[in-house]
Amino acid sequence: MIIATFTAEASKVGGKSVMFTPTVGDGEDIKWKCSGADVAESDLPPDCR
Amino acid sequence: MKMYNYALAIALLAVCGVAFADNSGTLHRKGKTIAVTAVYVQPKESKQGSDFIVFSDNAKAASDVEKKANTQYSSVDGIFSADHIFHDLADDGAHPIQLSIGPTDYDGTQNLDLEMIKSKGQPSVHLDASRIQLHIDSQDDRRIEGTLKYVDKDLALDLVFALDKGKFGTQAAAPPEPLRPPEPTNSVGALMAATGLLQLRESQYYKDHKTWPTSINQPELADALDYQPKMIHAVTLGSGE
Repeated sequence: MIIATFTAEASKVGGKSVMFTPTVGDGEDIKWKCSGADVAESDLPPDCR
Repeated sequence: MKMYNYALAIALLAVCGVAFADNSGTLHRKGKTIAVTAVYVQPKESKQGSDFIVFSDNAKAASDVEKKANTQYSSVDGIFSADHIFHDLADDGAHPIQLSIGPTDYDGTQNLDLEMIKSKGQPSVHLDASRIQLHIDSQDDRRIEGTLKYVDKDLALDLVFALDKGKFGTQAAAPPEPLRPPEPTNSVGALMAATGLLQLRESQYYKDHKTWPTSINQPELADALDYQPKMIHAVTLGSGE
């Protein structure tokens, strides 16, 4: 799992974190999903929404 | 897939940064990344001999050894002993690395040896030859250019060399600064830039080891955080997948 934390000064997302979690599918196909509970959807990558 | 495109762009820029460099690279060991310079090439004496390339992680030691060699070393036809330079670098505080490029076997296998002095006063150790990745871009009697990579659980090397044989390379012009991607202007771009390459490196690590890395300092992830957008405070690895 990767956790990225924004700086406190970042607009709208200051101090908030987003987690990226991998899942391993068939044939070792690795997909990454992300979630940021306290971050607005519009401020997240499309895969997180 | 956009995230991967961005990560690939950053990875490409990182590779370009290395490719521009003449005699520089990195040694990643004990959680630290140290600049390493190719110092000297002792050319092979015959077709069945070996070229020896010496690298130093300490620029001052390399400079000192060059001065000593030019004033105090004996030479054969103007060629200094790479082994002498290798050990003198260690005495001067470096953790030198010596690559031996031997003749090619009948089956096409190149005979390679990588030797390092990890601590001052300690004997040199020979690294796992099966992990050496050497690519010679060009070579003739006067000059050799290429790249050397090596990764094991303790250290990672990513080195570039472009040296005239029998001459020191410490006076080579400083490499240009690596290209930088544009600074993201929103949180989406910042997240992609901050974690994209790390995701690629972690995925590759999983495929190689069938487990996930536990520390951001592991050699296989060494370059994954080289570029971080100003909007990102920290990137860490959490527990679990």
